[in-house]
Amino acid sequence: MAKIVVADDDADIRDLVVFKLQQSGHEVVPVGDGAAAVEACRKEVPDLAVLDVMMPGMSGFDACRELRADPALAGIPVILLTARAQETDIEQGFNVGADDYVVKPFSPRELASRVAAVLQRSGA
Amino acid sequence: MRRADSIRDQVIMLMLGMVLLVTVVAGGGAVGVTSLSDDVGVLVDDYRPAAYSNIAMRNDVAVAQSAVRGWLLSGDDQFLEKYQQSLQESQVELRHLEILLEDDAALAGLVQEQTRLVADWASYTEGLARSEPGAVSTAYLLDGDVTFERLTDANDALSEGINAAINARGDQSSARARAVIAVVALVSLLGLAVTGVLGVRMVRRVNEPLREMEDVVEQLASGNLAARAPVDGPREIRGVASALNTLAEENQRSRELEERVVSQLKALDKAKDEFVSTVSHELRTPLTSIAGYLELLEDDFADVAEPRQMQMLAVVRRNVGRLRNLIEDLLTLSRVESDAFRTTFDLVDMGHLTSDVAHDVAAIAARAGVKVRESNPGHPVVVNGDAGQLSRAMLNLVTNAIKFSPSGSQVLIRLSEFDGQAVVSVVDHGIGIPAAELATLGSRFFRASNAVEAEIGGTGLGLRIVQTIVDNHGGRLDIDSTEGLGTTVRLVVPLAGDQAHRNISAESAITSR
Repeated sequence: MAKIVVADDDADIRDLVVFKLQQSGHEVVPVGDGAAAVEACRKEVPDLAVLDVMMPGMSGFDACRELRADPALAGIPVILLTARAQETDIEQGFNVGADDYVVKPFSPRELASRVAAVLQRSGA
Repeated sequence: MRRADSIRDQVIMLMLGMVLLVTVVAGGGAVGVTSLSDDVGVLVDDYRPAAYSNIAMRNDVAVAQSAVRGWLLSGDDQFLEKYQQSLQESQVELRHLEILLEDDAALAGLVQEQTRLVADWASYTEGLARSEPGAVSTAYLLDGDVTFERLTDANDALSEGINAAINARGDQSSARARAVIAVVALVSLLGLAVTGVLGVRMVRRVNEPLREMEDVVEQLASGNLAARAPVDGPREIRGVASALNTLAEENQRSRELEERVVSQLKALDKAKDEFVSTVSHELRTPLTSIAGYLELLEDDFADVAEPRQMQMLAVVRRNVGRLRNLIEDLLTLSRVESDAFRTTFDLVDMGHLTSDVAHDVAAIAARAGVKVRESNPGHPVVVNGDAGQLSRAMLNLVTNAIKFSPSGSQVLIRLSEFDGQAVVSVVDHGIGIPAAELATLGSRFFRASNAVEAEIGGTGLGLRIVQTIVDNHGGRLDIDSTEGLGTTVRLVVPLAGDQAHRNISAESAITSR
C-alpha cells in the first residue's frame, strides 16, 4: 500500500491518525513537527504527507511550501489538518499548494476516505 | 478719544463723520446761496427799476419838449395839456430815481445833477408855455435846445452809470457763485476722500481677520486640527476667533481621545482575534482526540459490545457533538461580534444565498422528513454585506425551522423586496415559541421551554449569531410565532443603492459560491 508521513505535535492525535491509516493498510512514518516532516519526506519519499498546520517551529504551511520548493519532493501530495476553520486559513492552505484540507475535529473515517481520494488522484 | 475697538463703534463714527460732512456741505451751500440771492435782490429791487425809471424819465421830458413846441407852432391847447402831464410824470420818475439810488453815492450824485438840469429845463419850458404862440424868438428857442441837450447828456450819464453798476454787481455774483461752488465741491471731495479711506480701512480691518478665519476653518475641515485663528482686529471678530479656537481645541482633544479609543479598541479586537484563534485550537485539539478515539471504539466494539454499552457510547457521542456545536457557535459568535465595526462590504445577491442555503440543508431536511421550498422574485436582490455571514444567518434560521418542524411538514424560504429592503422569510409549521418567551429570544444561551421539554438539542446561540449578523448589516429580525402552530422569522436588510443594482445585473455580484 502507500507510504504516508504524518506530522502532528499532539501525540494523541498523531497516534489516532497513524492507527486509522495503518488500519487502512498504509505504511506510516510519524513525526512531531514540520522540520522533521520535511526531513522524513526527503529520506522516505512517501506517497502522501498529512501535516498539522499549527506545530511549534515549522508550521504545516511552511513545511508544505518547503516541499513544493524542492523539485524532488514537489510531487508529494499534501493533506493539511487544522483547528482553524476560518476561510482565510483554508485559502492559505491551498495557496501553499496543499491538495486537501481537513478541519479539526475530524472523523477518522472521513480522513481515511480523503486520504484514499488524494492517493487515487495522484495515481499511487 | 477712545480707540474705536468694535465694528459697531467704527460704523457709528463713520456715520457721524458722514453726517458732519453733509452738514458742512449743506451749510456752506446755504450761506453761499443766501449771499448770492442778496446780490440778485439788489439788482432786481434797485438797479433794474432805476434803469427803467431813467429811460421813462427821458421819454417823459422828450414828450414834454415836443408838446411845448407843438403848442408854440399850432396854439392848440391839447399840446399844452400833454406838456403839463408829461412834466408831472417826469417828476414822479425823478423821485423814484432818488429813492432807488439813495444807497449808491456816485449814482445819487448823478441823479441830483439830472434833477437840477430837469428843473432848469422845466423853468425854461414853463416860460414857453406861458408865452403867446408865434411871439417867441428863434434865439430863445435855440437856448432852450441847449438846456434840453444838457439834460439828455446827464440822463445818458446816469444810464451808463446804472448799467455799469448792474454789470459790476453781475460779475461780483458770478464770482461769488463760482467760489461757493468751488468751496462746496472741495469740501465734498475732501469729505468723500476721508470717508473712503476710513471705510476701506474699516472693511480691511474686518475683512482680513475674517479671511484668515475662513482659511483656518478650511484647514480644520481638511484635517489640520492644529490650525488656530489669530485673535486680532475689532472686538466682535476677536470674539468669533477665540470661540473658533476653543472649538478647534475641543475638536482636537476629542479627536485625540477618539484615536486613542479606536487604537485601544483595535488592540482589544486583535487580542480577541488571537484569543479566539488560540481557544479554537486549544478546544478543538482535545475534542479531536475524544471524538476520533470514540469513533474507533464504536467501530471496534460494534460487533462485540452489549447493546447497553453501545447506548453508553451513543450518549458520549451525542454529548461530544453538543460540545462541538457549542464551541463552533461560540467561536462564530465571537467572530461576528468583532465584525461590528466593519464598514466595507461587498455587493451580495440574496437570491444566490437563499438557493444555496436551500441546497445545503437538503440532507438535514431529508433526515427530518421535512420538505424545504425556496422562492425568490427572479431578479437580483442586492444588498451591501458579507456573503459568508448572511449565508450563516440564513442557514441558522432554516436549520432551526427544520429542527422544530414535525416530520411531513414544510419549511418555506421566501425572498422578496419591500420598501427598499431585502426580506428573507423563513416559515415553518413547527412547535412555535411561547408568547411569554418571545421577548427573551436571541439572548445568549436562551432556549424556549417547549424545545427543552421536547428534548430538541441546541446551544441557544444560533439566534444570537443571526441577530448579531443582522445588526452588523444595519438590518432587523422580526419573529412572529404562535405556540403549536409555527414560526415566521423575517430577516430584513437594506437594499444597496440603484447604482449597485445595475452593477450586479452585469453579473459582478459576489456570491457564496
